[in-house]
Amino acid sequence: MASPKSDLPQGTLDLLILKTVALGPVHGYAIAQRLQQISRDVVQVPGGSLYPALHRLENRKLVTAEWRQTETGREAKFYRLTRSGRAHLQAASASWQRLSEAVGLILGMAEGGAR
Amino acid sequence: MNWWGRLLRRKEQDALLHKELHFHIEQRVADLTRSGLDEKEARRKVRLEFGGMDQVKEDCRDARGTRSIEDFGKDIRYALRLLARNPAFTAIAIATLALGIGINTSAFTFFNAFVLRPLPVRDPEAVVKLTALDRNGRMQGFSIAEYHDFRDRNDVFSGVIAYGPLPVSLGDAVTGRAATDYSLIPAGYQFAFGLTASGNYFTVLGGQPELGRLLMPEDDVTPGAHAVVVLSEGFWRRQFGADPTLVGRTIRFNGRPYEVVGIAAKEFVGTQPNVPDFWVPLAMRGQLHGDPTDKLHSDRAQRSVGLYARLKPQVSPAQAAAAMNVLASSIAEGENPTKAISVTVASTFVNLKEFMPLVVPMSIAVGLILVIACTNVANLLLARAVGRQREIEIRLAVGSSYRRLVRQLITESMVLGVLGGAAGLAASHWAIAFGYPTVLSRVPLPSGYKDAFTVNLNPDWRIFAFGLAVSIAAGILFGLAPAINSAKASVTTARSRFRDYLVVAQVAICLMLLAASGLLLRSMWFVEGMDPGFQTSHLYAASPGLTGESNPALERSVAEQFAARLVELPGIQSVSACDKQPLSGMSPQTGVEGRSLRVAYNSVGSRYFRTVGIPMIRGRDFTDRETKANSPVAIVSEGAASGIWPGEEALGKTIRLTDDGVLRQVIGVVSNARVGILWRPEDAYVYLPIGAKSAYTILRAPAWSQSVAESTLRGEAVRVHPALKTPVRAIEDSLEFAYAPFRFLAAAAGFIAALTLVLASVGLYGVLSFTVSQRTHEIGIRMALGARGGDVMRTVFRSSLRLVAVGVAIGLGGGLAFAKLLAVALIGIKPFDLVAFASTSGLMALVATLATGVPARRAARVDPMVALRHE
Repeated sequence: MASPKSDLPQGTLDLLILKTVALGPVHGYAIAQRLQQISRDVVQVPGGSLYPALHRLENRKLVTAEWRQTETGREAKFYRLTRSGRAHLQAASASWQRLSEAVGLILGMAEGGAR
Repeated sequence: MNWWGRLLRRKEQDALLHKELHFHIEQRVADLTRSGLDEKEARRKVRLEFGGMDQVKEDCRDARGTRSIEDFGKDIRYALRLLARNPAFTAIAIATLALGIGINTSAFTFFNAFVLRPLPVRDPEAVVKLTALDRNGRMQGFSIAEYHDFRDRNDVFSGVIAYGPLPVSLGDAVTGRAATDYSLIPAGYQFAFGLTASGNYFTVLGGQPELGRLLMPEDDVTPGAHAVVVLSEGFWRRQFGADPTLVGRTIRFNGRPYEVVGIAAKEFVGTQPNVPDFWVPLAMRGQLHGDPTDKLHSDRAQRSVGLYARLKPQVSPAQAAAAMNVLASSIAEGENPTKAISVTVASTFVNLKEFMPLVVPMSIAVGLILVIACTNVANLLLARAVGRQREIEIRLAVGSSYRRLVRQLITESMVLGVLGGAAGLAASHWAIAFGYPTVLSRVPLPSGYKDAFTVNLNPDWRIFAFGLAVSIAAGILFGLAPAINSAKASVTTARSRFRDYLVVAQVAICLMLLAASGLLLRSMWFVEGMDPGFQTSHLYAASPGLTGESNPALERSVAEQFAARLVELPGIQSVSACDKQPLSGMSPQTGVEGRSLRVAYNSVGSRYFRTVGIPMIRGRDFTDRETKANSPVAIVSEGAASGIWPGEEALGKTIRLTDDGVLRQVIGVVSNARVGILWRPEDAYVYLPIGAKSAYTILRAPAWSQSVAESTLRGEAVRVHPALKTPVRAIEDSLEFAYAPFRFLAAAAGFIAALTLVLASVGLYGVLSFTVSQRTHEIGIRMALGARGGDVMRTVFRSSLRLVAVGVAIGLGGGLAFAKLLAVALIGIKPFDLVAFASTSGLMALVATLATGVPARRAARVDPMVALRHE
């Protein structure tokens, strides 16, 4: 089994990829670049995590892919969100938001107030 | 693209994956060079961030979900390469498995032929067998008259057929008594074994002709008037070279001409597992036996046929039986009429229930051989796993997952299992095609008789399916534990316990089978040592009779002249006559008036007891006049005397047998003799005078061999009448025949046990030598610290014999349980026979000790310096 090589929590990478792909057809390299830029270099996804994740999402039919030309005229594999991918993204980001709020509440708790 | 498409287009997918990843790297390199790095530096940096290209590709393939199948194919190729690289290991493992699987497949082939294969007839599910029961619930045959009643007056069957066994001599007639006695075919005659069949036989069962036509109801009307025969395809091929012009020609049965009207299709074998040679109409049975008017046809006491029927749709066997019972009680005529009829499904040759006492111990025995074979291969795999330890460690280190590794190791053992299974199937096929006829040829039966054992044993899909299932099961059985053990990081420690189990299991199983064969061997010796109560050596039974059309009066006078000549013939010590020859199966039984006891009986001539060698205890023998006139006298055995008149003198008492009806005076008492079946005493026996019945001539000629007896009697017969023939049978042959089943069982069990012993001793030797080689280092340290060779040897012996002792204890328990299943086949031996169990346990312990000896000596010779440097 492939172990995630980034420090992201399990399943988070899929969510981030889906979100990036939701913005329009995009190839793997661009996904990695965009995640890095938007997160201000916090999220750095190595190829060893990115591509297996993309293939897994493709296999689950959350994204689909086609080969087309980039602006520089090279052939690249572009990923696009499917209908079920979009539904999955909505559900997953909603639950992520709930979870992160909950985690924030717990971490913001006053010391000694837990009992 | 679906899963299957991805699987099939693996190459293409891989190329695209490569292209995608390559694009990523090129793009990154381009970005980095644009930001000022030189290209070489950029590439190095990209390689570092991206990770190992091959690893990424592997992970992507994993993500695609076709991995397990792809890997399976790869694993199989890898396994085959590995096996090819290690031919000695592979050959031993495959041979061991082939033995285990082959024996199981052979046993299954017979099981399949008798129990599983549906009757080769139309719609076999509706075929039932009818069994007649008399008022005491004993099974009996049907009379032909009864058959006609049942056939015409039932409303539950769409058809009822009758058949009876019919051995005939090809060409010359066998005459006299031997012509009707199925089990006593004399040597020197070529026989064919067919059936008499009712005219509707083929139409009800649904057979097709290969050539010509089959029997029709019109062929079975008037006794003696339809001399037609249908041959089976096999007999036609064997005897007549598949001559297509045979149909319409005439062949001779018992010296009588029969027209061949057709050949049955190859698939059609009727209702018996052995294919009959031919079928003649039921109405011709009397003619073939020299009785053209055929009293059998109307005589209700002659219960000579068996019945099969085809159920009407929507009728269950139970409903049919109920209807038939009503019908039987409304007919109930003649002596000992049919009181009840049982209807059993006969969609296969043999009902599994009837076969159970044979099937259960047999399956256990052959199953255990397979287990031993598997433990041996498991041990080989374990030993090899140590050699592969480095390979496995490397694979784990480079990221192979534990489960993946186990899967690959199991694939390897399954490949081994399937290869072993293929070899086993081939070996089994070969053994059945060539070995079975050889075994059959050693059974003391006249040559023609053996054709009756030509069961269809050709392989079919069930045998292949069975072989494959057994191979895969075996592969998992011997592969799983070694695979799990090897894939664990520490290969040596976890396994020693598993090795111990292997030793215990092998010893236990081997002892079980040894003990079983010991019991059967003791039973055989017991039967061979039985005293039949008379002298079998140089005792011959001749059955004089005339060839050609029947003439009972002439036949009797000729037979009398013949017997008279024999009395004076030099070389013959004593001569007499009897209705039933010694050791020809159970004697007829009858009731005694006024007693609940049943007795066996036979009709004999004067001097019978002297000829056969049964001692006369009190009273006197029959006189010539008494036997000729069938005077109202009888001679009883001691068993009958003490059973009928306990505590009284039997001489002078009177007795009336139900079958005989004559009140007779007892004039002599003879000692008990086993004249029926050797191992089944018929102690209560009554001998009646032979009277005018046609009979066997029984004679003792101490200086004659079988061939001298034959030629001498043939010469005498021709001098009495040119058409007089006298087939001769040596009673010693009958004795051999009686030993045959016990010899066969003991030989089969001995063969199985010997194989197991060899497998187990090889296995033990392997396990123990391996253990010693594993402990070389430890032994080296001990010796370096001052242990002597003898001490080391003792340690090795102690640890292995402890396991052997546990195995023997378990094996004894298993052996006792197994012996109970064998009890039916044991004569004169209790299942818990001390001699058999003690001697086989001793043998097992001895073999185990020998198997330990070599490794133990090797351990004692370990050179500490070498052993320590070795690590």
